[in-house]
Amino acid sequence: MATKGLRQLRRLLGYLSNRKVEFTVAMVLVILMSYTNSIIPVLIRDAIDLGIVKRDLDNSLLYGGLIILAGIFNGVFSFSARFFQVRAAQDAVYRLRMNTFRAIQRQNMEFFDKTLVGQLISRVTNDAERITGFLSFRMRMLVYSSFLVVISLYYMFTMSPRLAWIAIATILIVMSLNVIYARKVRPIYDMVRHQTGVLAGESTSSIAGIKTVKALAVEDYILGKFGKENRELYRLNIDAARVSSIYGNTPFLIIGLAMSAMLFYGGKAIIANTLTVGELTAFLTYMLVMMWPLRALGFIIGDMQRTLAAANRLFEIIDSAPKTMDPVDAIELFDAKGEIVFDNVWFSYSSGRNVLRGVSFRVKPGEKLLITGLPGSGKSTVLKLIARLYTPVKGRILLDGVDLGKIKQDSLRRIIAYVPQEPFIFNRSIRENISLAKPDASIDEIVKAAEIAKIHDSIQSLPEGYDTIVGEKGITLSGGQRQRIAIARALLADPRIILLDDPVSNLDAETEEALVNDLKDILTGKTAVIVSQRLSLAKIADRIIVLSNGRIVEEGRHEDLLARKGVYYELYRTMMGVARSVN
Amino acid sequence: MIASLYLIALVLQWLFTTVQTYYVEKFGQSVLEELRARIHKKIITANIDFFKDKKTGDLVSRIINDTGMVNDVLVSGLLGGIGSTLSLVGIIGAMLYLDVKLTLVVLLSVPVMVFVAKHFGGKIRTAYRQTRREIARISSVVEEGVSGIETVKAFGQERKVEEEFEEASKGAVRAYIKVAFYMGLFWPLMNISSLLSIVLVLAYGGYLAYMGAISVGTVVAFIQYTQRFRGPINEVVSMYDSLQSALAALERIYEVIDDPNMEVFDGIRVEKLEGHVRFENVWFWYEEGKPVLRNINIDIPPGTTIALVGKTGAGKTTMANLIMRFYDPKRGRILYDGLIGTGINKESLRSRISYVPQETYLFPGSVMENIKIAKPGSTDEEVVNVCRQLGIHEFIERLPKGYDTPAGEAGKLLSVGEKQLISIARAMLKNPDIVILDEALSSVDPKTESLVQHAILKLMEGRTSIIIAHRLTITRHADRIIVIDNGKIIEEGGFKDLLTRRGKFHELYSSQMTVKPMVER
Repeated sequence: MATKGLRQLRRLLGYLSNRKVEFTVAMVLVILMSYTNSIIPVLIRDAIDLGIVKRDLDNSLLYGGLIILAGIFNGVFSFSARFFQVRAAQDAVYRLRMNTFRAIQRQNMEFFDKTLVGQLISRVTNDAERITGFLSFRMRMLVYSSFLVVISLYYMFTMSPRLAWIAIATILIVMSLNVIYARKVRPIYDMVRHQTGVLAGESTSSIAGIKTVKALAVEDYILGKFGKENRELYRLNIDAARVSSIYGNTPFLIIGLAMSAMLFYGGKAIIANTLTVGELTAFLTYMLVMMWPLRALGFIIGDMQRTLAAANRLFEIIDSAPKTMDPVDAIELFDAKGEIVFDNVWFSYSSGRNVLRGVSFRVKPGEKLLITGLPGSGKSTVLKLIARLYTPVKGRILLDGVDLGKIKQDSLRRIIAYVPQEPFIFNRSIRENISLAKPDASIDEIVKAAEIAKIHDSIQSLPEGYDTIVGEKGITLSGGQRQRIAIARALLADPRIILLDDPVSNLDAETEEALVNDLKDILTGKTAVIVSQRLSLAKIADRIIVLSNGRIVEEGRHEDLLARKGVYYELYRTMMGVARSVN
Repeated sequence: MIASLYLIALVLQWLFTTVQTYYVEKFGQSVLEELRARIHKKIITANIDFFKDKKTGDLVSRIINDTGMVNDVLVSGLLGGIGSTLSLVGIIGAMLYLDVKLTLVVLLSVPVMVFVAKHFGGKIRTAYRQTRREIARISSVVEEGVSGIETVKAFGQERKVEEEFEEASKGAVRAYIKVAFYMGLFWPLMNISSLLSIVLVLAYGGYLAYMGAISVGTVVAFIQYTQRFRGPINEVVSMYDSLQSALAALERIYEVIDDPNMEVFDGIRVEKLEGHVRFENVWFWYEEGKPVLRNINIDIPPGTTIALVGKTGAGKTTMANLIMRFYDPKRGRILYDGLIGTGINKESLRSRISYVPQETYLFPGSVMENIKIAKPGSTDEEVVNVCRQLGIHEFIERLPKGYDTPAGEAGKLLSVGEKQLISIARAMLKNPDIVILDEALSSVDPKTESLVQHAILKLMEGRTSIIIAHRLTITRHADRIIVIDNGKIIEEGGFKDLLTRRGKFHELYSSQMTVKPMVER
């Protein structure tokens, strides 16, 4: 555990290597700073003993001047130390954050299937923040406080060992109190933060679902649930208050007691002439000077483990990501005929169940293939494998005879366009969303793609047309609109192969009909693999594959499959049955 | 003697601050809890109009962040502010008691400290806020990059997203360095101004001591006092600044609490309805001058089913909104069992009506909890029974964890149509007298489609039902079909009637049905 912690610490500090000089300078400055700060009580002592007590005005002024001078030096040191250190630390955190984000992007889809978005956000914000705090602030405080305490103790021992022992005892007690405080209060604060998130989630869902709440007339129930979580947050905050009111104030009592003990013994010593008034003042000043560094030390030590844990979480992401996107021998493809071959492909997601079980088929260049089947039969997975979002567990997928895994991903993306069932629309303008794969597309090209995808009119009716920002901070689009924007996006890329996952779900009947008719023209000359439960798409397919439980159960032309009176015929009949029962 | 008194005083002071810290914090937290509850209640009980120009995130931020801001000032204001002011007064009082002239000279450094604290304190806070904004930007880039990872990968957008991240990340670095710059100036300047007071004591006190005007002890005491200045002054000054932001936060809170768009729950309560609904000369508009419904007259006898048909924007959903009393007619009236709608208590009315919206909103929690929400306090058996009746029990059991499947997971697995099954179960659990169903538009596979149809018919059995029909196959089951266009009823009658009449309905119907023959080539 300890060695693991050390290793992580070393690795974390390794990120500072780019700014080694700045970092070293900062550390030296911090030590100088603790020196100038701990010398001030000594100067006060001399000002009193040599100036005030001896009624020597010159000395008073001299030491007063020296104190200000020490203050100024201290200020300069402190400013530059902070500045250099923050620059070095920020550079380190910046690189750590970039490394983490790049690693996130390089992760394969399995990683995203089992990781929540919120967790990743928390990695690059909260964890990175914690590390920033450590590298730029806490580390400096650690060095500063330790040196300050050590130098101060040295001076105290030179003045009066007896009083210095009191100081040491005080320091130890206060330090351990602060460490306990930090250990006790942190988990509560974590719970407070978590509960705040719960409460925010509770109100988000009740506000986002307000129409449902009102329609069900369950306002009271919702208010009750919120009230419960609200109370829990209150309770946790009170817990935190209990701990911090005790541990936060007790060090002051200890230091107060120590100072009175010093006054008591110091007073006796002054009478016995073994201590001067200035020395006693210096002692009292030291106690005041050390109060805040002691608190900081307690918290830094109490927090160390958490900082390393945060760093560890980032390192885990970085280490688990594949080093590069492509194998070294990957080949570049500039164009393709568009032939796809599945050769005994097996696949399972991380959950383990086999989704595809020995699927083999060939799509000829320019052919339109429709894959259909019940939900869970593995249809969408076929598309995801062709798009190379996932790799087969067993078997091969070939593009123009070349294994997909051997082709550079950049090449694949030029050749293949994939329209998922729930396409993602970025928080940018519609124009940018459509021209994703071809950023230099002219507005005419974009409009043309949008027209074909039957979304041009809807875009025109938006407040700022193609420049309207959509997504989280902009206008929200319906499922059908998103799908059509994604189709326009794919068309604009003008790929050789196009993969459409249920392109007509979320469309009303009229639009569906029009889009299906147009798809026929759009897809001329391209290889297309379309997944759908809507058999209206059978009209444009050259061939149909029926999947069931991860296997191909039927394959052929629409008419042939109907004539066979098998699974396809059944699917078709249930679908028509719904329609026919009306006639 | 004096020593033991001093010790007692010390312990008493500790006891007092500990108790004070605890109770002030406790008081602040209870005010905070109350404030959060009040603003949340206000939002939940506001009428639908309230929400039309509001964003969820903004409202949530008012409930969580703004109240927190107010509390920070309340607690730290009571604790820190008052405490600091008191100690300042105490310190100055003690100094004045010892020596007036020396005190006045020492106080010369106070304006310097106040200036430093105010000037740099404000700058530091602004710079801090900037770092919060940059961090928020980083989160949204990650959120987008990760939620859209399929699209990012499929379209090779890694570099673009990475650039955005890099930019946000650099912004954060710049903001932090700015904070460091001001902090770097702030603390040493505070320190120097506090040392300045020591030097003033040494110089002037030294002079007075030299002249024999005061004792050495007084000078030493002054040196001790001046060192306790810095903390309280900094605290009081920063209080002033956070007071500003607290006032702004309070304003945002009261903006919501004082909003006049309140749902009014008065009128007579209805326990049970026969389900007779009648529109009498109903007009409605969301915006003045743009009527959405024009003089609608419909009579829906108890237990009958009507289907509302028409293009998007014809006014169908508005009619449902009026029946639910999300809005009230601008002209004309709606009668329920002969009672005027506006005279009935909304909550009691809504608990007699089940509304099945097009898009089902799933609350966090399990599928079971999501159905139960329609009737808080209902048992698992009740829910299972209802689902059995509707014929969707097996469907739910097939979900990964059956009824215990978390809504988030279910939301990802289920299509819009399948999610509507949950809405239908909710509706059924309420055992309503009137059912309003906004049929889901998007397609489901044939099996689910028949499941949904079956469930809908089961739900409508023996109840007054209003269906907003998008796909016209369902209209066959309606006793009467009402075709709306541009806010007016243009056709009305039975399914066969309307088809033989070869009017608008026939036109709509045949355009939808053409998809099928195409498949048959």
